[in-house]
Amino acid sequence: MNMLLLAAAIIALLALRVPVAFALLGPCLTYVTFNGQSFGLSMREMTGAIDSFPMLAVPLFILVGVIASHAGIADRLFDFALSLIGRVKGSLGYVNIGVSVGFSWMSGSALADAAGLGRVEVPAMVRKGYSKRFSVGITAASSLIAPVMPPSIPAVIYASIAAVSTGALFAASVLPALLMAGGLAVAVFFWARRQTDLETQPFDWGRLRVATVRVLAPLLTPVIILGGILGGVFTPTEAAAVGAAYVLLLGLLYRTVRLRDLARILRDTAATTASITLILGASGLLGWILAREQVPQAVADLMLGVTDNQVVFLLMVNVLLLFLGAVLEGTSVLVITVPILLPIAVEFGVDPLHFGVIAIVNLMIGLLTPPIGAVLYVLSPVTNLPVHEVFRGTAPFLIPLLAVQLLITFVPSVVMFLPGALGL
Amino acid sequence: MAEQPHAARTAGHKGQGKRDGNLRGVLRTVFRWLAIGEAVVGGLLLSTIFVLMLVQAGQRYLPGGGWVGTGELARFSLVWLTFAMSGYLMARDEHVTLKLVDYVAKGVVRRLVVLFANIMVAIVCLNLAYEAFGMITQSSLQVSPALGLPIGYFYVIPFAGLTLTAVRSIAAVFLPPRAAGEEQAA
Repeated sequence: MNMLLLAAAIIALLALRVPVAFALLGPCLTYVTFNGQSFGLSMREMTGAIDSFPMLAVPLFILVGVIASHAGIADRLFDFALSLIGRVKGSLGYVNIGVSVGFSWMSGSALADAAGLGRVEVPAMVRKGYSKRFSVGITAASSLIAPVMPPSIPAVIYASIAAVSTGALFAASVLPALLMAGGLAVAVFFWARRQTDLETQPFDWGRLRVATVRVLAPLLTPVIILGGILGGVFTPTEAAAVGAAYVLLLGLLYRTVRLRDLARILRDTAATTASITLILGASGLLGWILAREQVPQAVADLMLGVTDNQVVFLLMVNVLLLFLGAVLEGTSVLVITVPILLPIAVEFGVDPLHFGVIAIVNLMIGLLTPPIGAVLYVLSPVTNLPVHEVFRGTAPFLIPLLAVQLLITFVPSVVMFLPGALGL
Repeated sequence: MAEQPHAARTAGHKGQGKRDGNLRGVLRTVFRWLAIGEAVVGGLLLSTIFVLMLVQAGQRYLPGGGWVGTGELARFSLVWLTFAMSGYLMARDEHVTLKLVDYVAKGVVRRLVVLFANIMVAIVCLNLAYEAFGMITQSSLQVSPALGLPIGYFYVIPFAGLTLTAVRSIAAVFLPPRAAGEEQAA
């Protein structure tokens, strides 16, 4: 079976609303059947792709995020950030970014960030005179920090596929995530300068003290997770479990999570996990076929025929991943493209950690762009704005995000500095 | 008298409608319980992973040898969770899907596309379930390294999950969506 036919069949099935996992599996099963492979190969490859220790971190980091959402930690972060910089013009824009940064240390999903924080932040901003379009735009854009900042679900998946250290990839992602936050803050600064009717609130030491006390325990979560991983105390998977236990304990102590909520938390986490891991399983079979047909080598030859310049290659990768991220779901693109593109990137002298961060940021930007733009579709019902209005609010923030993406791509030290400094 | 055939026909329609309604009601109940069962299994498997990883993190710093099967059981639980929740996701249309067609096609065209997608999912799942069944019946001699679990047993939950996903897809083909899989209560 021709590989182009395989690709065409997958694309056609995706377009015809077949779930991604089954759209990958259908043509792959046909390939396996027509090539006379041994019985049970498909199931073995599928289960083999999921049956990996690093992959166990995926459900556990999702669990951390889901419990943190239920535990009302976002509200505490919001109060803290507001009491800290409430008197600054455009403060709620910065607060929005700051809360996303804080929450991103516990949640690795942009959708959880957008849905959870959007409900709190957008109404609060509108009450203080911010336009709804701006409010929803900055909320959507800042939600992208979550899947880049550790613990990042796409990073766990990439690390597992690319066989790189999850801890090192987490460390490599910190500066890019902070740069994204910085880029968005600059955009808020220039926007706020033009506004005349934004409400601010006077600085109050008492309020700051109370908010700080309320936020101290949640802020220990990243210390436990990242400190545990980078300090060599836990593996990333164990750190995720300990982090989930800690956030659960906080929720129970704050009485925002009750025992009867646990069933819903576990069900939601299991459902989200299964929707990701089934695609991973399907990509395991696809990866086996691609390797058997030597597709990565063929694509590498093709690309090397076009250029032998690393800069041009990285530009091509950026354009390709931005496009794929816009028309396909990010995790699916990650699991399909990494086995093909990573070996080529290594041939061009790109470090796998550097490539991982480039790929993740590119694909996550796709969460903000039509036609897929999952964050847009999550925020539309949350804010009662049509999807195109949400996108109009988000579009200006694509400029700083793309600028950061170019910086990450062409200044590798932004990515490689921290893993190097930590000896990872 | 002229009305009698019409009345009989109407009564026939009503009877048929009532039977259809009953069938849908029964199916709705069955699928609802099925979804609850799947969610419970998924939740239990997730809890297993969570507890085992906590145990593994703890046993490194606590005296005593620890249990060798911790990692293996957790990994198996992730595989089982994936397949156990597949039918649940199918029933709730929560599998990751590109729903572009929902914005460009309406009415009959959209229904046909959804029908095709369900048929495709059913074919894929039946194919894989057949393979899983073969693995269950053929792999009796091999055991897993740490737990000593016969490899055939490993494929029981994937087989069940894939079969239930296929059942959901087939039900969605032959029955309106409300009857096929409205497990919102689950």
